[in-house]
Amino acid sequence: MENSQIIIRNLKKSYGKGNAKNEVLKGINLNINPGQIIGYIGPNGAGKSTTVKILCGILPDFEGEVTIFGKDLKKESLEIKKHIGYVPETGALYDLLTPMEYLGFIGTLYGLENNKIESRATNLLSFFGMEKHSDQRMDTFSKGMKQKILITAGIINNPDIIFLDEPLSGLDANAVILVKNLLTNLAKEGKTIFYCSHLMDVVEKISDRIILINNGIVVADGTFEELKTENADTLEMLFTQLTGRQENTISTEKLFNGFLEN
Amino acid sequence: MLQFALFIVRLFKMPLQWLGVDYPQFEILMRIKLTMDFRSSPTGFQTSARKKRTFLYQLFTYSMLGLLFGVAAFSIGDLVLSLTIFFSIVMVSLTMNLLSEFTSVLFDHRDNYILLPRPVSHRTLLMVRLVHIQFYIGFIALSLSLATGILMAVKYKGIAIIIYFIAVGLSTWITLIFTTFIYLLISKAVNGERFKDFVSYTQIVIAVIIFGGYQLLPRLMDSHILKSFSMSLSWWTYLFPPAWLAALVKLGLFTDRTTPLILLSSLAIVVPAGGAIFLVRFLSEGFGDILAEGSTESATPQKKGTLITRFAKKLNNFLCISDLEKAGWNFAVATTRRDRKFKQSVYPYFGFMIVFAIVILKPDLTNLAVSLQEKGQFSKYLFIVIVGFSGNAAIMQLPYTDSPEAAWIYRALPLKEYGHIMTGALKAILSRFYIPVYLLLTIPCVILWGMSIIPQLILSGLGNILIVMVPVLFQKMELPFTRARDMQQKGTNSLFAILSMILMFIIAGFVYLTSFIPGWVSYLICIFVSGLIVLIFRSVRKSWISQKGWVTL
Repeated sequence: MENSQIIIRNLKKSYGKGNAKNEVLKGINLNINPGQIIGYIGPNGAGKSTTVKILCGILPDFEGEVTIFGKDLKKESLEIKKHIGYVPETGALYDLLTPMEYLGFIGTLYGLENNKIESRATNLLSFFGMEKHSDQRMDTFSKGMKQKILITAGIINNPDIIFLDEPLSGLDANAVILVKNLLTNLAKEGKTIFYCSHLMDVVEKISDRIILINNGIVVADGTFEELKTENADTLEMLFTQLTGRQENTISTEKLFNGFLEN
Repeated sequence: MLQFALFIVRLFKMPLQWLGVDYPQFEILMRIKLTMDFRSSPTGFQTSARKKRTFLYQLFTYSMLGLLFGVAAFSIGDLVLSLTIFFSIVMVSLTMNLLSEFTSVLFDHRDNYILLPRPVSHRTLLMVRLVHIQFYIGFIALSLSLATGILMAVKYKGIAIIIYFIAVGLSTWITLIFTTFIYLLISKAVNGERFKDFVSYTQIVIAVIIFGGYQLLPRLMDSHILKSFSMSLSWWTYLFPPAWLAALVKLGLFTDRTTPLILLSSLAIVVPAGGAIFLVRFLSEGFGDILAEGSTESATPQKKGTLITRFAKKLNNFLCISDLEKAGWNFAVATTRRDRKFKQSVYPYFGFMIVFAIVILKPDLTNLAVSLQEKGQFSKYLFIVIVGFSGNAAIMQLPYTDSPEAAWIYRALPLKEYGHIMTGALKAILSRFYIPVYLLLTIPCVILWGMSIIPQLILSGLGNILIVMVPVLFQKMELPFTRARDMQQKGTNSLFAILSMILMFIIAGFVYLTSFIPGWVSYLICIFVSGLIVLIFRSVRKSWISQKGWVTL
């Protein structure tokens, strides 16, 4: 508990007001230690991205307490942001720039020196096989190429905690292997990886700890070995059991029966 | 250009740092924003080649307007009064631009995921947005004030001209600070979707006020009186920014150093500086909250089963001839009801019509009843023909959307009769944006001019539908919501607007002539025009039949 890098206490978040109020997080409590790969999973709308946006300081308006590196997120978010990295689920980048221009810009926002930015950017772009595209404008890039730049921008400041929201979106099989290796090695270096995904097999393989949320609360938390049961020996089956998606499978059958008849 | 802009920015390094802005971050953010502006692809500002041309065209128009305003203002004897009027015009134009074009830049949520997770303070972010906008509205202010600047240079020479341009710069900053301040105050009271609605409706109201001002004010003023006008100081003069700026320029002439003039001039310097300090130091947190709101998804429950929606459904069943046409109707209604930009483009026309009605009827506001009775003597009910403007504006906006990529649906549909979607959407637009306004305006017309004008009113209504359908028929209008908004061809739209105006005059003349023939003949003409409208709709439906089974977008 004392070693925890991230401490979350009774985290709540609602969108909208009055009749339109939608409580997305209903009281999340977590302790996260350094060097862990956390697989943060849950069905659509469970609150995964909202949690990540709060922890990255994108959503400053929330209830509860969040402490990162021993600092209160509400009071010292700027100081915390210097030591975290974020890879968003949306392909948000300034695609009129070249990768080098964009990474130079992001690095400067972190106060890095130019030579450091350049060497890190060059190394990371080479790692992803993007070096020959480093001076091309990104508006011509494919989704996968942009995703590689987003991941590069998320770690260019050598952060202690990296939040990744669906980082494998749009990547080909080779790139997925590269990212998995990258995350594993970053964790070995003591970085904390907080990783949201719907790809259960990847989460199962790389995560030290799996946190499953549903309807804004944590419904399972532990290593995969701790969580699996006789009836659910894969993460996908466990996910289906805990989030009640089996009922939907039955209703899908009903839907298709009706659909084909009509 | 980029280097020049950055050079100007560097001049303000010290005060920016003093305000608590992280200068290295500020400069790189400015560099990146401007670099993207100068590269040709749409990302939100004046970026694409077409947008650049539009911006240059806008600057030219403002220069011409500035010349007119300058000459008009300098026809007044008193320099402080003439400059007060001039700066009022400049500041109102800038506010107008800020509201319509730059609000989205100030509260741009698109880069939330890039900037908010980085260690960038709210002060730095707010200042970057303000200076970025200042850069563009500075150009507009300069265009508006160039002609007056030349007049000043010819007439007064020396330091006055430098102070004049400083005053122009201050006018942009005061407008920017004031507008942002108001926005931030409003955001404290309402948030999320309501804030966006508020901004949207404010833009519409301001557009109507400005248009009304341009149309009505010159008619209310008597030009020969203006020449003998002079500025008298009241307590409210000290609350009126254009008067501060005018006083500053007057002080620069060194002809007058009265205490009120010095006080007013001081306000021109103190208020913008103080406003910037207050805004950045104390309100930037609120600005950060507004930005963060853009990262949230809030659901607004849709109203169901109201009397109007039930009536609309019945109207849909009555007017649409096929299921596909009904689908087009429903699609257009659902989209135009929620699309703020569509509302911003169309709703001002309802206000413009009221202004036009006043311009045409010229009612004496001191004795409205008698004045309107007098109007009854003439065939001014023909002003109802201008209602066509609302339908026209709405139909011209029909192809445009912020998400043109969703147009793949048309390609994927295994259909031949795309025209039915088009006509369904057109019927929906006419039923929503034209017919209700038309019916509403017929009531005062019948009260003022009597039942005998009913055939003329029906003929005007039908004639207007003909007018709005002309561009659709001849232009082969794009399918609904398939074109990006920044692809709007203003030139073509203006051409059709002029064509529609000419047709409007022809229809008005024709309707006027029918007032001299027996009523039953007018009703026969109405039936004939209705048949013509049916034929036009049929023609539009046929023009969109695809032989290959898919549509070329």
